[in-house]
Order: sequence, then structure tokens, then C-alpha cells
Amino acid sequence: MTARILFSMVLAWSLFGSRTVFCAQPVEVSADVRGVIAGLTRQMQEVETVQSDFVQEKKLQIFDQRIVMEGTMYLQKPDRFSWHVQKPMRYVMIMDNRVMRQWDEESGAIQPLVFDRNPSLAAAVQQIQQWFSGSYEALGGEYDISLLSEDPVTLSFSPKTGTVSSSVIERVVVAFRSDKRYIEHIEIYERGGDSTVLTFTNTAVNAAIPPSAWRLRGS
Amino acid sequence: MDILFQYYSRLFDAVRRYRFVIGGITAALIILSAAGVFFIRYDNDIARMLPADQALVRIMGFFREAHFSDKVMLDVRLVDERAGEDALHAAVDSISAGLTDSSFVRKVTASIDQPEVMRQIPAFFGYLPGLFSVTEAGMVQERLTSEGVHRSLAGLWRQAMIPGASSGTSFARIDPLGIAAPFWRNLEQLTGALGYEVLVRRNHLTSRDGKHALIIVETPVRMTDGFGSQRLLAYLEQATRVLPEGIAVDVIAGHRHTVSNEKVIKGDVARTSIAASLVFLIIFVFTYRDPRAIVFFIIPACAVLVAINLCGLIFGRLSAFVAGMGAVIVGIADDYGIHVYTAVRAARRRDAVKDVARPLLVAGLITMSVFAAFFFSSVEAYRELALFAIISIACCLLFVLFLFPYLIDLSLGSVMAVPAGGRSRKVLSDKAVLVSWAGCLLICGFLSTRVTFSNDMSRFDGSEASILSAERRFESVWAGKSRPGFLVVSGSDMEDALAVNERVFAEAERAAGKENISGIAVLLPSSRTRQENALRWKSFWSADRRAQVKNLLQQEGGKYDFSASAFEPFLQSIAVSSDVPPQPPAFVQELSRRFIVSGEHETFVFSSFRDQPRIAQEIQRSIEGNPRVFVASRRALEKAMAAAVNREARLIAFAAVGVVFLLTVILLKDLVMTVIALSCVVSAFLAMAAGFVIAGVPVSAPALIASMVVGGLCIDYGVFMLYSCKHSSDTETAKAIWVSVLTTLAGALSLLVARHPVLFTIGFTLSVGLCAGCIAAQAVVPVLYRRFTPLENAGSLTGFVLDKK
Repeated sequence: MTARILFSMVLAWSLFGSRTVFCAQPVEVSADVRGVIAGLTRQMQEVETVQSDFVQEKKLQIFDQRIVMEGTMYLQKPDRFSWHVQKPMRYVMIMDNRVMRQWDEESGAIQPLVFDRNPSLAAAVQQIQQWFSGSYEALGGEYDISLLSEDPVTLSFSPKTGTVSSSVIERVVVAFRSDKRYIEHIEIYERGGDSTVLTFTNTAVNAAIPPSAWRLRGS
Repeated sequence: MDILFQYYSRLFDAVRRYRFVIGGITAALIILSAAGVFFIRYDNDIARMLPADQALVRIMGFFREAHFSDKVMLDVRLVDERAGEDALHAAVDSISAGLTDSSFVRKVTASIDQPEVMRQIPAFFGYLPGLFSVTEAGMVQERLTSEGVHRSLAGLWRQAMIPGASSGTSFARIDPLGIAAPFWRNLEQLTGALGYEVLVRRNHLTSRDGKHALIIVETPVRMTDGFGSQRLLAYLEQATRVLPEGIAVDVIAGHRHTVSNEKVIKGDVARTSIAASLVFLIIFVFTYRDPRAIVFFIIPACAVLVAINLCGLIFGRLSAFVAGMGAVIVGIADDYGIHVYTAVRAARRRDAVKDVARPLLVAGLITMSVFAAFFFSSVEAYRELALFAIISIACCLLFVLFLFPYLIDLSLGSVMAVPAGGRSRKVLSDKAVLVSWAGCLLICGFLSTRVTFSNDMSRFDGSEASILSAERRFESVWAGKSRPGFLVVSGSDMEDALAVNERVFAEAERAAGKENISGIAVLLPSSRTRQENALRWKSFWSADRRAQVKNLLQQEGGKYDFSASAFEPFLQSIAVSSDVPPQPPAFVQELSRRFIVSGEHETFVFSSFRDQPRIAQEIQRSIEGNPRVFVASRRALEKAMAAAVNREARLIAFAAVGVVFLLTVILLKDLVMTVIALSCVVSAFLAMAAGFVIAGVPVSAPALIASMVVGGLCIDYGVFMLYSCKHSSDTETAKAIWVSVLTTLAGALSLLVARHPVLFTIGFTLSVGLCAGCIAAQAVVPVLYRRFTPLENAGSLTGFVLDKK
């Protein structure tokens, strides 16, 4: 159960039983950063599909060692996303329209999750999609955005005070390829000391995505 | 009847001597009554219009105590997206800050401190001992094997595979075995328990599209309080008057329906009254050619004024609904004036009123008896209506029988050349009339077997289109997939209710399925249960078992490279145990308060379920025989309402039919004459039933009430027509019936242009019923009279039909 889901469930108390979920908001940034984001948005708007190899390196307090994962991710706008981990274990997560399914080699089980019944999960997934699809204008309401470097473009996102993200995340750094057509790496620093670094390689933009990308290995 | 008439005759002569004094006193009384109308307290509480049915009262009481319907939602929305979300949130903050008047606002919720809630999450793990039931203990026991621990840790490992942040793992350190997982799921279910979906963005309650923000206002003003609702809406309008550009606010509240219905009804009454009055005037002017005929209106109106005051004194307050029925009473009671006026003018003598006094007394008494049937009702407003109508009719009768003849100009002579009923105008042969009538009755009787009844309360809602449109917009933005129903447990206090709730919820969950019901039974058991659970937790986590779980975590955790201290917080939490159950964390207490309702005499704890027929049926079955539990939902309310209204309708109808029949027999002293008089009522009832079937409209409570009025009027027509058949003399009763019918029909037909569904229903019922009753009175009664009352026997009748000479 992810932290976001926990947050959303618990927050429900204050809504008098209303269903509560979180999601991002329109951007509010300084003028110079706004220009950069506008440029990125234009670039990213041309992106319909992305497939990229990735290396995800997680440094978590509960593990003695860093966890390094390798795999391939696929993104197809507006709402398809798949995450195939090859190492250290085979794991697949596919988000397709209103359903998320995951499978792992060890259990061999497929777990379907319908977003309509789990709006909190839907919101969490929406954030993942926003990070990967470059919809940064939509993230701006919850984060202060600063420009760390213009070439290559590197943005830093710090959660605004009082937002739920501020309780968990300290900072997210997103660096773009020099052609600005896709992300090169994402670094996520959490308040508890955990961190995640995602590096993308062999990225193909607007290439046809193989049908196997939307199939779970176990299916 | 004869004794009554003799008394009347003597009294009439006595009044003649003192008519100026009595007239003066009457005028003074009317003036005082007119002034008194402004000092009477009117009550617009629709609860007084509901049957005192136990199930209905219980459900309504629950909804009232829970203040569901008394909450006001302010839907603040972007009408111009360029205004931006910041402006939207600023508007929400500004409006919320201005809502401070405690006479209208009990609590305002517009924002949430998200980080504060986050800080409370770890406290929940400390609360687990109090929730450690036998089921929980069994579940944890099952996991305390190599395989079980391996499965739990594999899940944590998999969690690390997903893209993005991994802060969920910090909770895994406190609860690696997922002991709290069922409670998290329970919390998640509770989030949608009241059927709305709200996002939290920058601490504001926001819609999924980010274009709407919500302010929840808890108000002490009850939705059923019409005048309070008006003041509340005016206050909210003032509070939301000044808004930034591009921002608008919709007020979503039951109070708006109350006020709007009143407004629509008032508009309808004004329109229909003007229309009907114009028609009345035209009829009177063309018929009587005497401006003093206007007194027909004034007499019943004055009688109603007196009745309002008397009822106000008796009840202390008066339902606005009852006062609103005054117009209907005027419509009924103006007939008496018509008959007296016609008789006196035709005979050119004031004591000609005695000639029509008998049928007037008979008709008046029978009409009063129809309303008297409402005394049998458990609906408070109906009982008020009964007294109000009886006083009005009695006052009207007294005036027309004793004083009105002195206001009539005798020099004007006979009234007019209106077609008289009965013998003088025969278009069809008697046989043709009877065959046609029987055919119509058969057809209507056949159709009436297909009558359907409706108790859908929304059919009575005549709110303006703008309100309904705002609500549709609100529903499309905020509402969840389905409307919830509520399983309600009552107890003498909270602990008592919580204890019952545990058992009831478990049963209902088994019956309906876990995914279909959510409640606080699992999260907030009674103190006693939490005490037992805490002891169970302490006993379960013995030193041996703590050592066992520590070994298992190290052994299986090593396979995934978990650090040696990864689960230290968990091991510490199971080592610290106490006999005293921990108190629920603040957010559990706050959430639970939403599902606990403290009433005046009892405490309710409720759970929410998907209000679908199968689920509702299963839940209902699971609670059968338990007097402390009930289901409160729209479906249950409609069902209870249907049962109560049907019972009321049967009771009133039975009482009315019985009283009318008995009184008619007693007053007419002849069974054949009674049956003939009642033929108008039978015709009207069958026609009304058939009319509803043909129009494809189900019969509702207002239609039933209207049908009672039709019954009362039609028996009048029958009685007067019989009188006319017997005395085609100088009283011109048949002509008076025509005028009376035309005026009543004008009033009824004018209601067909009403916008409010209740008024329209009443208008439809009255129009169809009165048309049928009138046709029967004019066409059928004379034929029946000729056929079944031989001329040689007619003079021997001892009832009002007895020849006056």
C-alpha cells in the first residue's frame, strides 16, 4: 500500500465521509521558469508515445543495500502506461484506461485494481503519469518549481507548505535530454531519508509501441 | 332533520328582529378576524403533514437528528477558467470567513490541514491492540510461519518495484505483517460512505476537474422550517454577493426547495385566483346582473377568516398548508350563497331562504362530515384542516341562512334563463341516459382497476428549474456512483449503541457482502470490546511469540536484504502492551463522529451500504426482528411513506364513505334517495380513477385528499338536484346548481395551469371528478328520480324532499 493511498484514506475523516483523493494542480511559478515550462510543454505536446529503458535505483532505510532495477517503460498518451522490470525480478505494472494490473514472477499472481473503485490509487497513478508525460503545468499547484540548469534543462520541484506532498517528499529533480524531447533522469528525495533515482536510456519518442507492452507476462 | 329545520325557522324569525345588531356584531367579528390573521403564528413544517407512522417517524427522526438534509453545500465554481484556481480558493476562504452568524451557521468546513492528518497516521498503529479481535488474532497467527512472513515481506519487496517514491515502506517498518491492512481498507470504504467524491487540493475540498470547490455549512435551521429557510437563504445570498470575477456560487440545500415550493405555490395561487375570480365575476354578472352578487365571494372568505383565527387560538399556530386550503373552502362554501340568492330573488321574498334551508343544511352537514373524516387521520395537519373546514363551512352556513337574505335586492326578480335540470330539458330519453351512464361507469370501472399509486416524494417537488439545474450540475461534479442507504442502530447511549452496532454490522456484512457495506463497527468497537481486545493483544504477544516473530522476520527478511533493524518499530510496539485499551487517534474519533448521532432520547450509530434492491433486501432480512435496528434510505423512506399514506388513505376514505352514507341516509330518511344522491359520488370517483389511468399519472396523496373534496361537493350536487326534481318551483334550484357547478369548475380548471405538481394534481382531480359529478347530477339524478321514485309516493317522503307546503 503506497503512502499516497494511506494519506487519502486517512484524510477522509475530515471530509465527513466524502471520498477523498489527491491530485495535482495548475502551475504557479515565476516568470522565467514559466517560460521554460511552456517550452517544455510545447515539446512534450508533440510526444504521443515513449518507450525507454530505465534504471531505477532506490536507497531505502529498510534495506541494507540499494535496490537497482532495470527494465523498460512504455507511455502512450493519453492514459496508457506500462512498467516492465527485468532485474532483479520480473515485475510488470500496466495502467490502461481505468484499470491497473500488476504481475510478478515470484507470486505469479495478477492483481487487477479498478480506478473507479480506488480513486486514491487513480490519483497516485495520475501523478506518475504526469511526471512521465511531462504535464508539469498540472503539478505546479502543489510544488514550487525552480530552474537548476538551462542546458540541459533541469527543474527542481519542492512541495509547497501545507500540501500533503510536503509531508513525504522533500524535493524532486527532473533533468531533460539536450533536445528536450524527453526526461533523462528523475531524482526523488523523501523526508524520511529514502531516495529514488530513475535514469532513462535508449529512449524512443513517437515510435510504435509493441502490443506486448500492454500484456502482463503471466497472462 | 325536521327538528333542526323547526329550530332554524324559529331562529330565523328571531334574528329578523335583531338583524341590525347581529349584523353589526358579525361585521365587527369579521373585522377583528381580518386583523387577527396578522397575529397568528404560521408553521410551514412539512413534518406535520406526515402520517404518525412508527417506521416513517423513525426514519425521518434519524435524518433530522443526523442533519443530512440540513447541511448546506456551497458549490463555488469557476465560470471563467482564466480566473484560476487561486482565485477559486481565495473566494472559498473569503466566503467561509464571512459565515459567522451562529443563528444560521453551526460549523463551516472548507479546508483541511493535510500535513496534520499525516502526522496522526503513526498513532493508528498504537491503537491496534483495541481492535485485536478473535478474527484478527487468527489472521496474525496464520501469518506467523516462515511462509506467511515470507509472503508479507515479498509484498513489501514488490512495493519497491513500482516507479516513483517509496515512502510507504516507512509504514512497513511499523506493520510488516499487515495487521492494520483490514482497517485501512475499512477506512478507505468509509471515505465514500456518504456518496460524494471530493479531492483535497492545497487543503481545499475540490472537484476532480479542479473547477469547483466546496464549502460545507452545518446550520441549525431545519429544512422543513419554511420561514427559517427564507432567512437562511437571504443570509447566504448576502454572504456570497461579492465574488471575484469569473467565480460563481451555487447554494445546494433542501432549504431552497422549501422556499421555492412556497414561491411557486404562491405564484400559482395568485394566478389561478385571479383567473378563477374573473371567470366567477363573468358568470355572476351575466347570470345575476347584480353587483351585490359579489357577496357570494365575500361570505365564504369572511368565514375562512373567522376559522383561521379560531384554529389559531385552538392550536396555538396554524399550518401554512391549512391556511392555503382556505381558497378551496371558499370554492366549496360559495355554493350556499348561490342557492340562497337564487331562491330569494326568484321568490321575491326573504324567507324563501327557508325553502332551501333543508337541502343547504343537509349538504353542509354532509360536506362537514367529509372533512370530519380527517379527524381519524394521524396527520396533524389533516386534523387541523378538518376543524378549519368545519368551522369555515359552519360560519358560512350561519351567515347565508340568517343574514344574507337581507342583503338581496328583491326588486330584481327571477335570476335568468339557465337550462334547468331534469324534466324541463330532455335531450335524450331516460333509457338512453341510463344506458349511456351505465356504459360509462363500466368503462371507468374497468379502467380504474389499472390505477397505480405513487409515493415518490419528488413528484410533490415543484422547485424552480434553476434549483434543479444547479443540483444536476452539483451531482455531476461531486456525486459518487450510487446513493447510499444507512443501517441505523439505536442505543440508550453511545456505548450501548456501539455494542449493538458491532453485532448488527457483522450480520449485515455477512448478508450483503463486505464490499457493499461500510461502517465504524470495526474501527470503533465499544469500550468493553476494546478492553477485551487489548487483553487479547497482550496475551497473544507473549515473550515467546515476540521472539518467534523476530526470528522469522530476520530469517525471511534476510532473503530480500532487509536490514537487521528494519522492523524494530514493530517489535517495540508489540512488546509494549497494557490492560487498558488505547484511545482512538484523533482522526478515528473525528471520522466516527460522522457516523454517530446523538438524539434527544437515544443515540444512533449508522453504517452505509449501496442502496440497491438486492443489497437492501439482504440487509433488511439480516435485521428482521431486531427492534433497535432499522434501515434509513430514500428507498426505505418511500416504502414507509407508501405504507403510511396508503393506510391513511384507506382509513380516511373508509371513514368518509361511512360517515357520508350514514348521514345521507339519516338526513334523507330514504334509502332509494340516498342511493340516487350518491350516484353522483360514485360517478365522480370512477371517472377520477379512469382519468388518472388515461393520463398515465399515478394517484398520490394530494389526489386522494382532493377526491374527498370532490366527494363532498358531488353529494351536494346530488342532494340539490333531488331537491330540484321535487320542487321545480320558484326557488330555481336547478339553475343555482348550474351556477354553483360552473364556479367550482372554474376554480378547479384554473388549477390546471398551475406549475406546482401538487396544485396541478389537485386541479386535475377536481376537474375530472367535478365534471363527472356534475354531469351525473344534471343528467342521471333526474332520470333515476323519475324511474325509482313513483310520483304517487313522492309526496310521502319525509326527508328534505318533502313538499314544503
